[in-house]
Amino acid sequence: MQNANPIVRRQASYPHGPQRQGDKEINFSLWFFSVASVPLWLVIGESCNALRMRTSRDACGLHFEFCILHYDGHVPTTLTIADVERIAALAQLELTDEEKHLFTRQLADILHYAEQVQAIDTSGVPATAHVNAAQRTERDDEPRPSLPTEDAMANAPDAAFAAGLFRVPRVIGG
Amino acid sequence: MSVLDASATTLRSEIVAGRLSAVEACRAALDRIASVNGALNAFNLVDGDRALDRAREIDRRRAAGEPPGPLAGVPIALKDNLDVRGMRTTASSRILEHFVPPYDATVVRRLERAGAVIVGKTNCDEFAMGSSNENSAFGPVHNPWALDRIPGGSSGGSAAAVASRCVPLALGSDTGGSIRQPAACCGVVGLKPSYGRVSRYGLLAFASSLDQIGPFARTVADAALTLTALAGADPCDATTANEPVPDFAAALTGGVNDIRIGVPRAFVTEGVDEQVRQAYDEALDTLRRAGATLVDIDLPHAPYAVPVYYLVCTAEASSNLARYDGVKYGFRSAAAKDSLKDMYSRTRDEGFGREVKRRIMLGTYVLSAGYYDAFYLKALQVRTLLRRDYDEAFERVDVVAMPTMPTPPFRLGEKTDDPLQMYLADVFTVSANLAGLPGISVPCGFAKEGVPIGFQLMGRMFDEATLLRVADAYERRTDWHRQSPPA
Repeated sequence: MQNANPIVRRQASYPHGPQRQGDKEINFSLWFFSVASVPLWLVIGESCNALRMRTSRDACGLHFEFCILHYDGHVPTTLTIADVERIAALAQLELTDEEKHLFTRQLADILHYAEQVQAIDTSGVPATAHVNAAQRTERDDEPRPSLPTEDAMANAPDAAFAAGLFRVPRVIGG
Repeated sequence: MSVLDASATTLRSEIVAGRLSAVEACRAALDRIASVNGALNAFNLVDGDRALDRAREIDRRRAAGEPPGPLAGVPIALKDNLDVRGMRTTASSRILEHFVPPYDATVVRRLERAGAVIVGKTNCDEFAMGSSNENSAFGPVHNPWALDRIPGGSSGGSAAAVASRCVPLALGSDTGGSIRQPAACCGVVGLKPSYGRVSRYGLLAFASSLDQIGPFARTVADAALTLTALAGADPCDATTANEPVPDFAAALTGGVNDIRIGVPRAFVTEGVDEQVRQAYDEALDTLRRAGATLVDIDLPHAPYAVPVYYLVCTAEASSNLARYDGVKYGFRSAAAKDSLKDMYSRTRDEGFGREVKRRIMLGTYVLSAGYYDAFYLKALQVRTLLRRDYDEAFERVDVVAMPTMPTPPFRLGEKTDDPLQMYLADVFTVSANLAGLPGISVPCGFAKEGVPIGFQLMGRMFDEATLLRVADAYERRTDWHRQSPPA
């Protein structure tokens, strides 16, 4: 079923990349009558609290738009069917409608549960991507025997064995 | 009493002494598998001809006076995500249903060099993703103690094969508890070595910073014997550690007078079944009476291990499983002939089961722009904090004790509709993988439903010797491991 409370994705072209999920916007505008020439972006501060200011000139003069973004470390994880479709496309998965609805609900549940990690203070804590990362892993760059081509291709669903090629559907056009 | 009631250690010495042939041991295993597998569904593949050929070779070696090897003639089963050249590896997935590996995993080479006889491949959760073995494309494994209950996952077939006396040894892989948890459910010993202790070359990758291969056995001594054969650096896996490999079985002295056992009381309370908590307390008391000292410890970040684990493992899985695209090997959808992209997505939709897709989706999400910092990177930082918790604990204690699973094995079908509830079953096992630590589950009692309960010990990185010594000392003072499931 469609999620009851979808959040709107805001894909604004902010100067330092996409807006963070969880940013809350407070917008206000000011008008100045002056003669500034080019539109420009200004970003004050970063990450947690940012003041974004956009200026533009029109017939009335200079228009300042302010947007204060407040980020409290909490990322809302309500998902929409459209989100699930977007992720499925990234993951090269063709999902059925039933799967889209099921995953929308289940992934939202799991992400909501996983949100608890966002409350932990990790300032200055390095990431552990790998527990043996300090180990030396180089070896001499010398040719060694490797898998013969025919063995490597033996499991291919469609191969031109003599040419040593995997056959695939059309890549361009069609 | 069948030869299969004997431990691997005993079986090996009978074979070496000439009182039993490797062929007889192999036939006994094949007969036992044939009689129980219909009810258990523990094996995806049994290759009797190959096994008997190997067994004859062991008997020939012995007759010729050649060194027979530390596992001479011992029948062993492998989880179906480990490659044996010429023997199908499916990972219990449609997408690899007909995949025949062109090479041997390093653990396979080492087992066969040690004289072990591989009898077949065991059922598991698809790509090792699951805690109940219900995510197999070939149907669930049934718990030998109660056929309507889960055998644990993801290496459920290996655990059930050892518990039901099909084989004295089996290998599994453990990414978040997939050896220890099914060992607990089936009443056998399951050992996850330290990250880097055993080569992963020839193991189908799920989450490469967490995956580790290890043995199932019915005694701690057998697990130690197997680890000695498996362990050590391998040029084919750059993450293997250049640590010396001791004779782990020789470390089993039975004494624990010098051992301090860390007890994380605050962590082992919420959501733990009363029967499990009682069995845990009794196991601690047994070790205390044996001379060990119990020390209260605090692991403040342990409650976050499950969310951290599911963010990290799915991220890694989404990347690792990108290789299954219908081009180089495995299944290709017949429905898509129009474009390459269409072929990829239809192949993956038809080839992968639901849990695998769910994890690929979750992993893709947490790695995608806008979420990477808040989820994936954050999880890796909390992983560091969790490691520090253990580092601090291991300054004061030699091992840390926990239940293996918060509940006794539940009924098949009980949690399949709620993946989050299923993930919470991993609360006590995922920490060892995130921190790279060795962990072992040993049988410590039975729930009133007649199903086994497991006791888990975790050790310092690369100190499997101490871990195995404590587990063995416990085993010597109990007889849970001698119980057999109903025939």
